[in-house]
Amino acid sequence: MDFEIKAMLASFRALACIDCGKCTASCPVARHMDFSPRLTISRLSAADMDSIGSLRDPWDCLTCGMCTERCPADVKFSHLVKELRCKAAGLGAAAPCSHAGALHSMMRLSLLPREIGSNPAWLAPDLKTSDRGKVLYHPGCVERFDIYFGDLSPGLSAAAAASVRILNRMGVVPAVIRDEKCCGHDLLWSGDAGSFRELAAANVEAVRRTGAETVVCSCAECYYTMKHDFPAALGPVPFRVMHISEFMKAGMETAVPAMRNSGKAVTFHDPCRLGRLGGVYSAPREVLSRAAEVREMEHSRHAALCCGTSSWVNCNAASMAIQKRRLGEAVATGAGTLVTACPKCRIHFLCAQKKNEGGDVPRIEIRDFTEIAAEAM
Amino acid sequence: MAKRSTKAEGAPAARRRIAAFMCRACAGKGLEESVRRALGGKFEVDVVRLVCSGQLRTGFLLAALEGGADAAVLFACPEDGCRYGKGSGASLARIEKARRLLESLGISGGRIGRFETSAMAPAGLDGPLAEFASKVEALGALRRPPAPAAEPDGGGDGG
Repeated sequence: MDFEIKAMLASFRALACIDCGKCTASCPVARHMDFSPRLTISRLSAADMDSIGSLRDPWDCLTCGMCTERCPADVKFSHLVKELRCKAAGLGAAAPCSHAGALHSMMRLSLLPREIGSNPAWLAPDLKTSDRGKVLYHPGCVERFDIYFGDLSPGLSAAAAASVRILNRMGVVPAVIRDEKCCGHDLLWSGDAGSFRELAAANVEAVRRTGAETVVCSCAECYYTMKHDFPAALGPVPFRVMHISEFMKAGMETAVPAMRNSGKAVTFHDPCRLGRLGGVYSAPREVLSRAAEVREMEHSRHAALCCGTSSWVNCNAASMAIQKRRLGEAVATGAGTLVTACPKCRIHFLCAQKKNEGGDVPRIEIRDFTEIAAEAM
Repeated sequence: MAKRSTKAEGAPAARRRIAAFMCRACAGKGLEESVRRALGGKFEVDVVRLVCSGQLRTGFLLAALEGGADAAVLFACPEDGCRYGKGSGASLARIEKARRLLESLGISGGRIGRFETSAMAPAGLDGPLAEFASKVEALGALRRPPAPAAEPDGGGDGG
């Protein structure tokens, strides 16, 4: 076995694989196409480092973490895939980016110095924000996604505004970085570790300038990236990172005003980066249960299905089948609204509903966690 | 993946570049020559021929800028003269989307141009192209600052 590959497999516990096949049995992609985490590890064991650029398997994975959840040997397959993609890209392999790579280009272009200035479009005039403060709100790429996916009317900017509205009602005037950059999640998970590192460094420096001690994210991927991948790439960062549901839960008894329960039934879709990878399950449910009646889908929390696409890589027939299945689970709860805490989950579900391939994609309203919470406050 | 080059301080300035996407139906040899004539004094022109301007994706424009061009320009048939029906109109929407995305990133949307022309009548572009070139020249080079020294590990979190 190639020593470099052996070391990589060992660092993600892949050498501990006992060939039980639980990963493939639980993998949402494996249900729809020829893909297997177990066989990927097996093929890697027989490969040499120079050949990994030509492997297709790492790009088929959703990195949703379901296999790791079920793995009795605790193989960190999603993180192995991330590493493999970075190595493969370093060898010249091109990620199979969806949307002709527009979203990845956009993220890299956000590294360039601004030549024109403007306030973020999502920042509604009634919102109270500051340039400095102990708490910073990081909206992620919502404004740019709203532009790119305008035909889906995803309304992500409204979710960012709702986040600040929540913070304001909790008595917090958050710092907002006027020229905030992408966190780099999709670049890292599609193999561009260099640009990710540059974005991470730029973000950490921008947060440091605001004096913030806590960064609040409403996007599950920004949350996971800033909390886990920034320190992994740069070393300790001078702030803590919280998802807005955690921030609300922490202030529920002291800072959150009484919430009005609408009585409407909603169901919560756990984004992979918030749930399985980030370990946050109860906070969004506790907050939501004060605003609405929360119904669980057949697969929820640790067992939640992915939204079908990750990092703008490989949007294909398997993605659509997974989305259809997940939307079906949401409809089966009898809830009128699927609530998520990730702008990309929302985009992918809206896209599936708009395409309506086969004419039988289940219909349900899709909204962000922050919108439901803000309306109840 | 495309990466912008970072030139060392003191190195001779690279010639500025414009990516020119051309619909094959409207881009005869005359168009390419007139574009090089109008822009070539100030810019190096990279021509990309498309079967139809409707093939142009927003990502192509962003990739051109990311890959080192200071501007990107599309030459399309008139909206009502697209031989494939909706191609030219679709490209117009994608150009607008690219401009808005750039503006949201703090980059001038003026770096993206679109000109309608026809293989039958390619004349009349010199003036508008010269105007576009002057605007892009006034915006300055689209360059990223020198990158920090690279670290040996590529940035995967190692577990």
